[in-house]
Amino acid sequence: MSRAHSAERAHPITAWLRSVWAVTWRDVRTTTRYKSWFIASLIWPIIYPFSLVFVGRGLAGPSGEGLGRFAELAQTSDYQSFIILGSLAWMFVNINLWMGGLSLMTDRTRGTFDTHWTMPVSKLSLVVGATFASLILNFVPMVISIAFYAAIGWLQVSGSPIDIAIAILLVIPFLLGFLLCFSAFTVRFREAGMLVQVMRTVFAILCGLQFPLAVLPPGLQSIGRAIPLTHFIDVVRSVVIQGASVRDHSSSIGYVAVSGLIMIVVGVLAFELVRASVRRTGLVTGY
Amino acid sequence: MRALEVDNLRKEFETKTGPLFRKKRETITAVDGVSFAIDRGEIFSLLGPNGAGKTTTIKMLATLLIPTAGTARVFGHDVVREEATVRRLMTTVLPGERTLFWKLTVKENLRYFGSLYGLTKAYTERRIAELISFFGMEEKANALVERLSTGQRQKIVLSRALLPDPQLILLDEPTLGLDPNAARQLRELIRSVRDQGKTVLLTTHYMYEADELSDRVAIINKGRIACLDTPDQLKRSINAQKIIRAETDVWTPACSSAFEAAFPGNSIELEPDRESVRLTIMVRSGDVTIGRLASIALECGATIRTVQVDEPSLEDVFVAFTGDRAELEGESDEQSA
Repeated sequence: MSRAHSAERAHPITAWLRSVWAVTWRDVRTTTRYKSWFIASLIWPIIYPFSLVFVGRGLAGPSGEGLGRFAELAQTSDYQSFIILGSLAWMFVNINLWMGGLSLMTDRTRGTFDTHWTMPVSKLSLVVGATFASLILNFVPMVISIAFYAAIGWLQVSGSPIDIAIAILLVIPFLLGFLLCFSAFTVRFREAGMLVQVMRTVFAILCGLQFPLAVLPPGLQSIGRAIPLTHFIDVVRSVVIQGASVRDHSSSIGYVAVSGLIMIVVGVLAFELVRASVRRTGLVTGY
Repeated sequence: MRALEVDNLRKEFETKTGPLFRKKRETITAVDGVSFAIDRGEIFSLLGPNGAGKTTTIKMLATLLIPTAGTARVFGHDVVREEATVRRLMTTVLPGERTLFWKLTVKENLRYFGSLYGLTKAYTERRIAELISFFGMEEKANALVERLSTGQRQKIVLSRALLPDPQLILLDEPTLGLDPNAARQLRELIRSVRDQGKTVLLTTHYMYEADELSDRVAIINKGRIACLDTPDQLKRSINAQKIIRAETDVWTPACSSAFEAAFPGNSIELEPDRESVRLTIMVRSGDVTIGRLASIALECGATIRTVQVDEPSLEDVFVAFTGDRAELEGESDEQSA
């Protein structure tokens, strides 16, 4: 082994970006090496929205008389597209919580956590990279679901794909900030599987992912309106179902973008505070 | 400048014990004022039983834990205040083979960790080729880690630690869980790493390993360093020319009195078992022979069943300094093959 050279280190910004990409690539590569992932990715996004659409049909009554009331509450009579988009948003939250939010907990159970934490890499990049991996892996079931439901005529895509992409890109900072807070929680408390179940249900209820927000009591509606994800799903539904543009929802889009930036700052602060605390208390080690 | 200087390092953990709503806070001192220094190019071992404080010490040096008190400097850089610099100068290998990604290949793992060490792509590729060749893993370079043997995985773990060409490597129980053959190979690799000019800090509870590998050894017990020197010097320090270990059916006070009268200045340590008594005699002066020992035993009604004569070992040093052989039961010999 040669001793003529010393380690060549990348510029700090390049190094940070490479570390994020390395974590993203690691998770994508590892996940796609399991054949069962492909099968589940094909089936889950197709079957999950079915059940909710049928619940909607059941509640609409034998001749669909309840659909008029639904249209009043949801501002659209296309209940199928409404429910399918909400289901996709729920799946989006769900996968990101499992893969991004629990990434450091997975690291612990896998045995790589301590090694990562003794390395010069920024610990934030471990969560950011895992979140990007979950976004990439999310993309596949989303596309499968949209293609399937569009093909059978249950989902009418009227809006521009660019507007849909803009809405998705704008919600990512909020998602990242939230997942950093969530990861900080997992580092501090070490077990958070049950919290994922709680959080995804809370989001499903308060953000009106599977029903119109107007059915909630006014107090809960106000809380729901404060969550950027509620504005995100409203915008996506409006763009996809009614063919609106993101410019038509500038206030919601602005709210999502600004709250996303605030959430990132909160997430970084929470994560760094927890990182310092667990190194002092010893909670960083062990399981 | 020394590779590592540790001064009065201390780590306390707060725990809560007792029934719900009546829990009491308790402070556990895992490391209690540890001090030592390591020179460049040295293999230094922290030797001690499980729970002695070795891993906690390593975790503080590795910047994973913040010490409660004391300081540690890696090439002059403080592990708390200059953690980023320290992490670039030093790598850590923690116990277990699960520190790699089993669903990635050998090369994919090393590329991944190269990115996390902040290395350039070109350097990482060059270094991976060198390390794979150095460890003789060319045929396994594109194999998934899950398909490697434990010994091969340990080579990849060591390759990962060598990727950024560190000046100091911390190895926490590197041979834990390895079969004797793989453990012996790994010890050879650790020596060859030192020959590359690296400084190695090793923790182990295997006496044989510390003895064979280390330039110097610190024996740590109950969070404190009991003694520190070269293995030879430590063995000499207990002032015994040889150690006689024997097993008898009984050993009465009369036997002890006869022994002391026959061999003044020599100590005998007794470990009664259910059906036998184990004797450890540190031969410090005079001529303690097995024949004379057997005669004394016969005269006092004891029968010697087995006997062996050894050079003083680090285990004897440990017992001499800590007075606690029970701590080491079953730990000393399993890796000595």
